[in-house]
Amino acid sequence: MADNILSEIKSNFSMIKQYWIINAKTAIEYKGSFILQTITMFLNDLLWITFWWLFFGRFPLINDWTYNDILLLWAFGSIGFGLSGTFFGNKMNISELIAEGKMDYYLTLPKNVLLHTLISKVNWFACGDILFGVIIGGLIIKPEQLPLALFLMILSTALFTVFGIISGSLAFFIGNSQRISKTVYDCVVGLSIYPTNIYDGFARFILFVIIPAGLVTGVPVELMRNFNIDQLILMITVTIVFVIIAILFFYAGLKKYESGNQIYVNA
Amino acid sequence: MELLKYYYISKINFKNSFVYVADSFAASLFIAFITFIFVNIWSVVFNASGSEIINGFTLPMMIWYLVMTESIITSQGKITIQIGQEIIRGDIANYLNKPYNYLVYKYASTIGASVTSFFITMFCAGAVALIMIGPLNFDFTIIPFIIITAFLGITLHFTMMSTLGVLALWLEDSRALDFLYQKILFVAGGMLVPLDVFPLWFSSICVLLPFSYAAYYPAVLFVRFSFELFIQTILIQLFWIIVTSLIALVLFNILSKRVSINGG
Amino acid sequence: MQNQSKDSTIITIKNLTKSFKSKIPVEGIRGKIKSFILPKYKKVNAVDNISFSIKKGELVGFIGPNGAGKSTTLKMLSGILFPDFGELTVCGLSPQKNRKKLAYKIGTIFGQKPQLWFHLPAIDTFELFSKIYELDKTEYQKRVDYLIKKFEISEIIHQPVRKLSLGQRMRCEFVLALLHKPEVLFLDEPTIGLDITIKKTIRELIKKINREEGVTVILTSHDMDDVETICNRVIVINHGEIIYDDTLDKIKEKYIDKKIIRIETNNPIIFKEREGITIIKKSTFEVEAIVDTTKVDFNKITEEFLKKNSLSDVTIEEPPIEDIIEKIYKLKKKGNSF
Repeated sequence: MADNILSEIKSNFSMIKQYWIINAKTAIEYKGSFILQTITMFLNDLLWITFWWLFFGRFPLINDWTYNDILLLWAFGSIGFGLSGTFFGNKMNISELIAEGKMDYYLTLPKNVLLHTLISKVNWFACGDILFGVIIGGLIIKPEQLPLALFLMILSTALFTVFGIISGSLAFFIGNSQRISKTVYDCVVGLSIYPTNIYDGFARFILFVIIPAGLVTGVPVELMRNFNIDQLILMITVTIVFVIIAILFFYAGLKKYESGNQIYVNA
Repeated sequence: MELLKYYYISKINFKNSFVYVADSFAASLFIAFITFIFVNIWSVVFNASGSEIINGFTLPMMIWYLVMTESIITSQGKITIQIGQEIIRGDIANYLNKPYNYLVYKYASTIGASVTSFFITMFCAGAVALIMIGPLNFDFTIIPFIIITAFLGITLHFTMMSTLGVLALWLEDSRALDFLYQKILFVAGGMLVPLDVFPLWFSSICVLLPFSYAAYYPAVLFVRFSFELFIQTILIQLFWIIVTSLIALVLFNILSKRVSINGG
Repeated sequence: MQNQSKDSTIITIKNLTKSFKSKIPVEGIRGKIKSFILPKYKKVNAVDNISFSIKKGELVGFIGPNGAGKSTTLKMLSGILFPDFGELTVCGLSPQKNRKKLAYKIGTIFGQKPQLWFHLPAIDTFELFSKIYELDKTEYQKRVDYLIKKFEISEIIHQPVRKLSLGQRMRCEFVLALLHKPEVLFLDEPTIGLDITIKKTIRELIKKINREEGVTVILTSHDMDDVETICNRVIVINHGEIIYDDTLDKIKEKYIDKKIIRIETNNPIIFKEREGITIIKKSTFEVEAIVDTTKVDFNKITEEFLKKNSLSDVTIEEPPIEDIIEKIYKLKKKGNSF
C-alpha cells in the first residue's frame, strides 16, 4: 500500500518535471517575450511600491503600519503569487478550459485531473514577481525571521493557488463564467495588495476567515511584526481547510462536467 | 458626408454592446470593491490626521474623486492590446483596404461601449461610495461641464493607448506596454489618489505630462469645480489629444507603408 | 501481442442512455434577461438505449448526422462523460469507475483538439506523454523510434509543430496517440479539414496499425470515404438510436436501388423510353439516365441498347453512399427490417 503511494508520488514528480521542461522550452523559444514579461511584472511591482512610498511620505502611518510593513506585505504577496503562478500556473485558465471543453484532454489521461491541470502551464509573468519579492524580502526581512517568513510564504502560495482553483471552478457551475471567475479572483488578490489592518468588525471577519484574502499577506505581516502563536495556528488551520475546500469544490464541479450539461456544444 | 460613416460604425457597435455591458459590469464590481478598500484606507488616514480636510479634499471628496477616475480609466477596453494584436497578427491588412482611417474607425467603434462602461462604473462604484460615505456636496448645474471633461478624458486615454498599440509593430508585444501604462496612470495620472497629496516636486512634473489630463483633472473638477480650471483643463486636454493623435497617425502611416511594401 | 482468441470482445454497451438539458435560446434583450434569470430547458435524448459490442481488432465507423449522438457515445466510452443509465465496459473496465486505469489502455484523437504542444517540436510532447503514461525509458525509446519510422516523421519531429503542414501534424498526432500501445483508439473526425491526399495517407495509416498491432479502432466521420476505406463495420446512429449495425457491403446490397448511366454513341441514339428510366440529359449522341433497378432489369436494358446502338463511351455509377446513408437516417428502427 505504502509502496503504491510512493510510486504514485514518484510518477507524479516525473510528470511535473517533464511539464517544467516543456514549459521552459517554450519560454526559451520565445525568450524575448519571457524577458519582457519578467521585466514588466517587476516594474509593475516597483511602481506599486513607488506609489506607496509617495503615499507614506505624506501619511507616515496607516493605523500602526509603516512603509516597511507595506514592503513586507508586497514581499509576501509577490513571492506567494509568483510561486503559485510558477508551479500552478494553469490555475488562471481553469474557467476557460472548462468553458471550451478542454478538460476532456485531462480526463483521457491517466493522472489526477486537478494536479495535472494546475501544473501543465507555467505563468512566466510570475517570475518577475518572484524576483521582486526576493529582492524586497532580502532587503527588509531580518535573518532571524527568515525561517518564519519562508514558512509563511509557503502558506501564501497555497492560498493564492486555492483562490485560483475556487474562482476558476465556478465555471463548472455557472455557464460563461470567465468574467465572474476573473472578477472574483481579481477582488481577492486585489485585497491582498492593500494594507489589511484597515478593516474592523464584520468586514474583518469576512476578509480573514470567510474569504481568507486577508490571510494571504496581512496575517503574515502581523506575525512578522508581533509573533503570536495563536494567529499562526489560525492561519495554518484556515489554509488547510481552504485547500480541502478547493479540492472538493473542483472535483464536485468535475463530476458535474462529466454528467455533461456543459458539453452540449460539442455534440 | 465622410464623418457620417463613423457615426454608423459607432451605432452598430453600440448595439452589439450586450457583451460589453456584461464585461463592464464585471469590471465595475471590481472597481466597487476597490472603492470599498479605499474608503477604509482614507477613513483611517483622516481619523489619524484629526482634520476634516487633507490637501483641500474632504473624505467624501477623496472617495468620489476615486469613483470618477476609475470610471474614466476603466471605461476603455484593452485598446493597446487590441491594436497591438491586430498589428502583430496582420489583421491590420483587412483594415487598410477600407475607405476609412483605421484609428478613427477604432475610436468610433469603441466609444459607444466606453461611454456605457463609464456610466456603469459610476453607478456601481458610486453606489458603494453613497452607502459608505454619503453623497458629495454636488451642484447639479456643473453636470454638462463634467460630461465634457470626462468625455475628453476618455478620448485622451484612448489616443494614448492607440499610440502605444501602434508601437507594437516595433516591439512585438503590446501587453507589456499596456500593463506599464496602466501602472504609470496610478502614480503620475492620479488614478488612485489625487496628485495634491504627493510632494510638490513630483506633482509639478506630473501636470506637465498628458497622463494627468485623462483622469486627475476631470475628477478634480468633479469634486471641486471651478470654471477657470474647467477652461484650462479642456484646452490642455484638447492639446494632448491632438498631439497624441498626431503621433499615433504618423506612426500608423509608417506602419501602413511598411505593410504595403512587405505585403503584410 | 496478447495470446487471446480472436473473438474476444473489447467493448460492450448495454442500454446506454444519456440525455442533456439544453437551454432554450431566446431572442431580444428582454428575452435574454428573462432567460438569464429563469432559464427554460428542453431535454434532449442524445443517446437513447443503445446496445452493441465490438470485438478486438475491429474497425468500426460510427456515423450519423450532426447531433445524432456519435460524439456523446465516444465520450462515454473514453471516460469523459457519464451515462445516465446503462452498462459500459471497455477493455474490461468501467470508464466511469476506472477512468485512470482505462486511460492507460486507450488513445484518442479528437479532430479539432490537437494534443501536440504548438510551439515546440513533436518530440517534446512525445517525451511528456511518456512520463504521463509512465513508460519505461528503454521501452519508450524503442517504441517511439519504431513509430517515427513507421509514420515517416523522422525529418520533422525536431521542428516546432506550428511550422508543420496539416498532414505532418496529423501523423505526429497519431504517433502521440499510439505511444503507449493502446488497445483501443478513438478517433473523432480525424480527417476534418484535411485535403484529399492527406486523408488518403491517414486512412492507410489507420488500417496499417490495425493490421500490425491489432488496435481496435472506433471512428466517427462525416466523410463517407473515410468510412468506406477504413471500416469493416458501420454503426449508423440518429436521434440517439442505432438504425443500422452491419457491414457497408450489406448496406450497398440492400439499399442501392438505382444506377446512373451515361452513354455516348457513334450513331444518333435509338432508344425507347419506359417506366423506371428517368432521363436526365439527352442529345443526339449522348444520354444520361437514372435506372431504377427495382423496376427494370438492368442487364436486359443494356443488352437491348447495345443491339441498336454503337457505343463510344459508357459510365455507370452507383449513387454516392452519402445519399444512401441519408435515406437510412430517415428510417426509424421500429417497424423496419434491416
